[in-house]
Amino acid sequence: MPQIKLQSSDGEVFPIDVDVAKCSVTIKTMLEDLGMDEEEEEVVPLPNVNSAILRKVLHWATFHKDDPPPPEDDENKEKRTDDISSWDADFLKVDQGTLFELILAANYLDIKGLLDVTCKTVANMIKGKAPEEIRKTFNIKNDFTASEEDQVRKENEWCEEK
Amino acid sequence: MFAEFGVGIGKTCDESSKKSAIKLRRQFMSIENYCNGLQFGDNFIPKEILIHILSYLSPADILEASMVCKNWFNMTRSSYMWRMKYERLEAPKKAKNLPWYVYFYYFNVDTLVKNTNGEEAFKHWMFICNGGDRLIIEHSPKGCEPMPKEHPDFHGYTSCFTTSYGMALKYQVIELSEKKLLQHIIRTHHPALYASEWFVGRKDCSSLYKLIVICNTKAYKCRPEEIYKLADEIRGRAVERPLPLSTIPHKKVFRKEIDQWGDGIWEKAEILYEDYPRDVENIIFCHYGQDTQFWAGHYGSKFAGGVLKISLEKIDPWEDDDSKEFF
Repeated sequence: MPQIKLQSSDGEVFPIDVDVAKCSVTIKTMLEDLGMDEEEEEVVPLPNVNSAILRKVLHWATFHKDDPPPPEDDENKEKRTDDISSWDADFLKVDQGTLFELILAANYLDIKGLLDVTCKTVANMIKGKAPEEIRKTFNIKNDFTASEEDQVRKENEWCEEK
Repeated sequence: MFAEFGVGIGKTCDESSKKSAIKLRRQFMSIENYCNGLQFGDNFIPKEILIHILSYLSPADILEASMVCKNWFNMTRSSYMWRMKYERLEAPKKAKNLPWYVYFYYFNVDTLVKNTNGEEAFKHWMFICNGGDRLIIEHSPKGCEPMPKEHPDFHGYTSCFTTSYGMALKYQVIELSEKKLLQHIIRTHHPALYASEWFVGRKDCSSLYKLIVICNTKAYKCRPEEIYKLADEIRGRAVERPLPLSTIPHKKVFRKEIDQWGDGIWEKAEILYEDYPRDVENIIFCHYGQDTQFWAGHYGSKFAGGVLKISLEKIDPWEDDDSKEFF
């Protein structure tokens, strides 16, 4: 199995199967554009991802490398946030900081599957919560004035009517 | 008031309200805490990623999220977020540029018809005709294949309405005066109306089934006897003895004759109503069934899982392109 080397922002080098690395559209494009030869001992620098996160990302990508591509025309179309596989759910039992770093890494490396599942995990942390609970969870300030807040509430109430 | 948030609900979006919307939006964006709601610990999360996250929430949760802070408000009110949600659900259909609240309504209201499986007996339904051995609610429909009960149209119920040898004709009225958001969407965007219902006939008896959607306006409100006539004139015997055509101007009918010794498999009747009057005041969802061999008991058509909602397939996109706000 041909391998390439990825270098994290803090200088750690990860040798990895090319197939796994190509889960990342960013790396795949880079290899194609640069015409990097697998024989060469080149190192791909990833200045936006630190070693702890890159290790997690590669762990995820190794597990999912043989996943079939998502079905084009799925009859049961409604994708829910609760359709996270148990492996992914366990994998994402991490602190909030790590979760958001994984999101940023998945976005930068362009790994759709990882971005979707991490975004769903954050959505699940928001689900069913009142605004004040959401603010507490993510340390967000209520920057509405009382009258703005009232306007938003009124507009929402108007929309809720079924 | 609504228009000041740039949503234009409650009144048509004229020039001045558009301007005030833009002004207020700028005020919203130029406050001291630009990063509030986007900064998570050490990580600044770009809006397009947060929009991706928020698009996984239910419509009710999205409204809660809109009250968290100004950045979240703007993201949940962006057409972009709702289009992302729509394209995920309706792939491979392309989402059009529509005001956020049109998508919100589309996701929030699965059906305007109530009690569609007889789970509350005959509550909300009005009968025009209930002949023969009367309409009954069957808890596990007999004489046919099992219902596709996993389908969301059934809301987890396994019961249906079952007809007899006498005509069963009942309806629900959806008054738009009681549904301000729907009324506004219809007046300004005129989306097609979509009606559907699952139906089946017993394998051992032939039967008839009809689904009817009527739009009443101020100028023309149909009377129950006209609906009766509409149901009656499309019965098989009308071919031999044509009745005068119904005078109801705004209607769509789905009609199915079910043969004896059929496969007894549940089918979905569907109506897409595009050219209905923009000044519609109420919408009637009406269904009819009976057996055509006149056997005692309940050998007529069965139906359940009725849906009436807006369809975004044929709607004209919005010219006001607010989706560029983020990109």
